[in-house]
Amino acid sequence: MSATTQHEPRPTPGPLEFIWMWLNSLPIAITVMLVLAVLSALGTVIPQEHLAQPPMGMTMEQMYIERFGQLRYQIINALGLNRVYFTPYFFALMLWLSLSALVCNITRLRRTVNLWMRPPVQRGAGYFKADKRSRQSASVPRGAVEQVVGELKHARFRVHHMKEDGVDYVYADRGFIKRWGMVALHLSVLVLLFGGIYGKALGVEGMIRLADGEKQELVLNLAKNKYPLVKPLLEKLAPLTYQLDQGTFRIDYDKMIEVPGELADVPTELQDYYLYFVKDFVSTLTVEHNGKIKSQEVKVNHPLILDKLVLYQSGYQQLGYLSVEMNGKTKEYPVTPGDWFVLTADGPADPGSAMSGVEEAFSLEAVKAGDLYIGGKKTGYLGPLAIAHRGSMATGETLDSVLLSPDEGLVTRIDGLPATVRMSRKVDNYSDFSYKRDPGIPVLYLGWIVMILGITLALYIPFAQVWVRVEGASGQLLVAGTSSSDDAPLPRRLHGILGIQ
Amino acid sequence: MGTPHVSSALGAYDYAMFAYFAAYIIYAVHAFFSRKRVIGQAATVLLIVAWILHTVFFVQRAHFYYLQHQGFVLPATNMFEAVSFFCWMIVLGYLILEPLLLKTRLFGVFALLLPVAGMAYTAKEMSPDPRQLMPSLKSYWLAFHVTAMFISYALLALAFTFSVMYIMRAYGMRSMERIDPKFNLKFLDELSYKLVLVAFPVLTLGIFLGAVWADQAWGRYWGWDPKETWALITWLIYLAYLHLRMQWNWTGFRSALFNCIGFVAVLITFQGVNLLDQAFKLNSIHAYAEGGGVFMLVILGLALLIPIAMNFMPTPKDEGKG
Repeated sequence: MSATTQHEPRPTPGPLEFIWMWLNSLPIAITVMLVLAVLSALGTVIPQEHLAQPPMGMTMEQMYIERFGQLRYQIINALGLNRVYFTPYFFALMLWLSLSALVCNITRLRRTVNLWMRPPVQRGAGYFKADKRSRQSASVPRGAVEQVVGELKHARFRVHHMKEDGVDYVYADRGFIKRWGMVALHLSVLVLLFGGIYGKALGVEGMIRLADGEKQELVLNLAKNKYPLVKPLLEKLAPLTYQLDQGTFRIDYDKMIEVPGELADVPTELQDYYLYFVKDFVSTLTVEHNGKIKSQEVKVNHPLILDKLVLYQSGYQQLGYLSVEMNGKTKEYPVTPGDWFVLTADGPADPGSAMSGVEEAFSLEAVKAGDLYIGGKKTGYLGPLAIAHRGSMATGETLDSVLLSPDEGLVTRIDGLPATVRMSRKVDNYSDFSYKRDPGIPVLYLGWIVMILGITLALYIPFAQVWVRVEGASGQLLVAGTSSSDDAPLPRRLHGILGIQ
Repeated sequence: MGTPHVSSALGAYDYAMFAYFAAYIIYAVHAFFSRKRVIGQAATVLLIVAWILHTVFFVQRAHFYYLQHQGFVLPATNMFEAVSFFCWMIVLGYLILEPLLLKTRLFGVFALLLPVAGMAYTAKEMSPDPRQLMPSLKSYWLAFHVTAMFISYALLALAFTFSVMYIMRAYGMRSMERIDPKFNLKFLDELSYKLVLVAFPVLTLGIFLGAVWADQAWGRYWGWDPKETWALITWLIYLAYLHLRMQWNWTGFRSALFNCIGFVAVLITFQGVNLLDQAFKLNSIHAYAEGGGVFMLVILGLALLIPIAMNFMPTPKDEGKG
């Protein structure tokens, strides 16, 4: 046996301990955070599939190939960079960060509970010597320890005092709630994650389109498109049925009360069209579920909520009609805003299919039709209005722009005959609703609130600790925390009591 | 009788801008040429006047929106108003900091550079016209969400300014300490950290309020939209900054660099997302407003890369000296 004391070699950590250590590692957690930040940033320079809208007549794949080329698209697609937030590696990083928060939380909770339940009152002399902030006194007056305890209690510290083998030990702390704030902050990450997963696992969402006066049954199958882990459980639940009854959908228009500078050069006869803007999309919707009925006007920012189902006004289509008068007869044709068309005796047609001799093509801006409000007061009904741009088939140039309404129109020639084109009074409205039943929302909001509270407590509440050790006439003092500087009032008073020079 | 035209002269805004520039020049004179107390006081008084005129502009704009929409609309609905509101917040932050923490008027020339430049940017690049408010913006959440975000942005802008001053000072600009002994490394480092400490919870609150609003308006609290994503990136960067500072005691130069990276993320969240949307056709539902084009995007990219690159350079020798 060797005469010198040998330290026991540290046992090699097992695989679980190893993983635990890694999950508890701050450098790894920060690296994961920064990698997530970089990947997230990448998703904001490469169009993401869930947001991208390919141009008319083009598939998503064609759009990517046109923008990046075949090879680069293949690389992007193989790496999943066009759906980066939904890739397994992004999910794995999020999972790592969450597990890391969990492990960190367990460690932190254990330490916090220990410090709360079993505060480290007894500190040896070496502990004080090792800390530069500690102060010594060679002549502690009699009764000083009791005075220190009183002073600390007066300063609203939580004080622990014990005497053992003739040595007085005092430990005190203040602002312990900061430690709980730290625990809450880390716990909130887990609550948020749980809320998100819970909502995804048990929630349903989708879109539904309703025409004016249309009734539809919305059946929510909770097991549809669910993870295999929860699908068998959800399949046992009966589908939820909601009866939707769309009364009417309308678009309320407002008019700018002053003309913005950007419209100063627009001809006066067209200016009004641009001054009208959508005030609100309004559906009068009635929903019935399990005998409960709710009826309300659904607008953006004002969803309808019935039995955890939330219905949002998410989109609309307002389809206008062109009224073409020719040879004493009037015909109406639906028009799509933005597309160029030529007028034939059979109605609007693609300019590519135009017969020779057709001189003009047209394009309409969005139709505006609905209740008109000016300065908050309903002043009547607007439109239907649209601006028609007339282009030359020969040169491709825009010849002029004309305001179309049921009363005003433009005169052109169709198959050599004079014709008048106006807006029809007919308008078709379709209302798109997105619906959602997400039980995770309250959990998520709770997580956010806990997080904000945790951050506030952790960052703003100062946590101060005081240790005192008095053995005979010699004493040691250590003040740690925000008020640890020697000239702060509390340390100064403690120095005075303990006779520290 | 036709619809009246929006006055091309902005009135209070023009006067505010003029007063800001004048105050800035006086702050510069005070810092570099004359230490007379009265000059410093004149700069502060003029800055307060400018800020009040700027406030008058917002009140006028809010009144216009009230007449148009019959309700309170925070005048931060287009890029002109948003950048202007950002500058207004920074100046307010500076006016509070000057007597409370700085206790000298010599910081003004540095701290006000960003809002003065911002005001010039709005005047040169952006249309001041009030916008036609889309239905999703007609919500009381607009005021809460935007105010919280802009308070945090303004505080982070000031923190960034002090971090840049730290870097300049650490790289040997001793003349700064000659301007004022308070321009020492320790003071700048702690000031910048304290500002992040105040800004971070407000930023978290702002993101939360945005999520609640998004859930009410669009039916989802998070949609990985570029604006939301960059808000998260910004939050993650400052979260890492605070962890590094608290757990690893990352103070001084590295901390200042990290702070700069964080603020560039703030700028991208605020301005760059519109530019990214235009440049890469991302279809962000937050891209309400015009941006400054690819040039601005390149500037932001460089601003992000320079502090990262600097992190690999040798640390200045006077690191950590108080």
